[in-house]
Amino acid sequence: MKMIYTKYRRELSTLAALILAIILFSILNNSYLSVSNQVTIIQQAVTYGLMGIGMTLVILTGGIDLSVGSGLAFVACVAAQLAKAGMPIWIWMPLCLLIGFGMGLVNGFLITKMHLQPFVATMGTMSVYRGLAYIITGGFPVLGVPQAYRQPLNAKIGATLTVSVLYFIIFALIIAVMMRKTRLGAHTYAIGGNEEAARLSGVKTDRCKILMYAFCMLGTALAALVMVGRLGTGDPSTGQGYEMEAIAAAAIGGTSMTGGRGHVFGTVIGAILFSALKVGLIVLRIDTFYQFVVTGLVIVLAAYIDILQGRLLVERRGSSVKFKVADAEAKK
Amino acid sequence: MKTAKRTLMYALALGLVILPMGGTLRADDELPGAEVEKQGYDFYDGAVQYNDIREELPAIPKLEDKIELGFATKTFENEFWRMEKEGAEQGAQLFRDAGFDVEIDVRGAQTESDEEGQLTLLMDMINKGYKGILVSGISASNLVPGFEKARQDGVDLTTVMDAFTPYATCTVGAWHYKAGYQAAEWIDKKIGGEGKVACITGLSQATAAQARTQGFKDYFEKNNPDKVEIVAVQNGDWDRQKAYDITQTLLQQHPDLGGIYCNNDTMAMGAVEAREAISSSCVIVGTDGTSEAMESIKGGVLDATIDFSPQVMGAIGVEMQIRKLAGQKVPTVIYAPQCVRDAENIDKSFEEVFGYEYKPNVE
Repeated sequence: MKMIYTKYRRELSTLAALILAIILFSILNNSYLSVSNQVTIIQQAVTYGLMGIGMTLVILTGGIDLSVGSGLAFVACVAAQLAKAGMPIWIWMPLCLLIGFGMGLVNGFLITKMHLQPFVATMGTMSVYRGLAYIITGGFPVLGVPQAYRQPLNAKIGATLTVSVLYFIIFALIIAVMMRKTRLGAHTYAIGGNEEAARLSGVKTDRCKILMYAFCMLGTALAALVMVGRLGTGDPSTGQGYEMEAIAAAAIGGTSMTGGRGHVFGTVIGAILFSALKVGLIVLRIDTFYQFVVTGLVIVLAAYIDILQGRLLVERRGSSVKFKVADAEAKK
Repeated sequence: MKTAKRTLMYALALGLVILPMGGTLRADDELPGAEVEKQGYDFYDGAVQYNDIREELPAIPKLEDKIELGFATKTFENEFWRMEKEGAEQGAQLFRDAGFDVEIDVRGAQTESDEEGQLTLLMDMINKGYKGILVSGISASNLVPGFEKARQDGVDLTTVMDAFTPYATCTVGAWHYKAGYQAAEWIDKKIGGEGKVACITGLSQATAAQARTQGFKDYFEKNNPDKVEIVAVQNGDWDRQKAYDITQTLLQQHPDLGGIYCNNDTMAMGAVEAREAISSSCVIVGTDGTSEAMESIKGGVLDATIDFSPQVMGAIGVEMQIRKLAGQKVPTVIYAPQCVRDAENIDKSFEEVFGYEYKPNVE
């Protein structure tokens, strides 16, 4: 029990904040707790959650990816155009994901092989991907994606829940296992902790980082497909500012911006907390201007709770160490 | 020595604060549109609608000299500005047909946020010596240095559509407030004057969204305060996906919601998708009249949009600029023709809706 607590301390505090928020909203408005409302919350967490999971991977290496919003728009436009062109669906989905993966590889290449700072490199590709989205569409949204393509992403499983939630869960599980159980995951945490030390101990840091940027864009590409499924449109102007929402989901979920600390499940809960807030503020009929303030406060608060917990843990460990020293001295 | 340095530093800082203050004080009280700015573009009491003054406008005397005009618009990435461009060029063509020697140079900023780039191209137009320049500033302030130079050089300015600026002697644009009002009126009729409604807004540096939302609220407050309840006014950031999310939540919360008004068509298209997903009977109204929205209305999906007729707006902008160059006085604010487009009038031309075909009145 205690082990679970120490291991998932950050994720648990986000979960606590989520439960707290749900309780608070439910007290203020009874209808908030309705099943359909909860389903809506999870449903709306999917896009940001998928992007947030990817963002978590990148942040774990000590980097950042600002290009996800533009990447989302580009993949959505490509996906919509390919769907309208009638590409077989079993090629279509993997191909779109592969395109996303490739865009991530480019980001990773710029950062590792060309030694650009992640912030600068992805700011550049942010502009490039956005431009490409406009170029291939001529600035017009791609309308009327056939139902046959929307169904596998948007089919209903229950009243308002769609199959996209399953993709979200599966993607989160795969990435979580990858990060906890494989060497690649361990290496990523090592790079985030101390890149030089990781390199010296034989970690192929470049390869590992490139892959993390690629997986980040893969999550974004999946989010883009989900979006095309929902809206039936590939809009080149969409996704502006989404990178911040993805970073926020990771931050609320307890991912450290300096790298090396954080967990995919934290981000999943962070994204759900984010969407619970949005839905809650609409249900309570709170003016939009206040929503910005509330969202910002939650980010700050979540980070502070994390710091408080960390301090508590250090104090406890510190005191137990003292006792041991005292014991040892007494034995002498 | 140290004190001297510090004193100098404070003096410099003080100077930095005072200088711009003095600058703005000097510039503001003589600008042609100062009064409009004070009252707000959408609420200016001297504003007129083009449809109302159309027949009273005097004929334009024929100008013999070559007239070179510029039009610094927002990005052509956005369909709306491409339509403005076409309108302005058609407007110039109408004058050429009437024997004028008019050239118009229409250029757009690179992106929606390319504020510096737009200023650069405006500066270039001023340097080329165009007599009159039409502008649609990206923000309320990004073109100010260009406006100041234009005033110095005696270049006359007309604002088209957005970002009203007091430096321009005339503004031809949409009446955003009225758009919200028209949308509310349409929804009110559709839901039989009873029920719940909501508004999804856009937030930006432009005041258009606020004016549209205000118009929407005011209609119900004035005409139907008891039976219609506005259950939500939520920010959708002009974004399709965000509007989808909000609509989904709203319809969840209020299954009997009668109508949603969106500040632009992109958000309306997102809202429509959310509605289709749960097959509600809520009506959805957008704003702008983009081709996507028009197609959707034709296909029986979107219910209505407010059409700003950007092409005619661009042409009227050119007309007013030429009138000013011909020495005529024109109103400071002119609202271009706008109408609600729904399934009933979607196929009708401008002439069929407004009862006249746009053409400048030339001597």
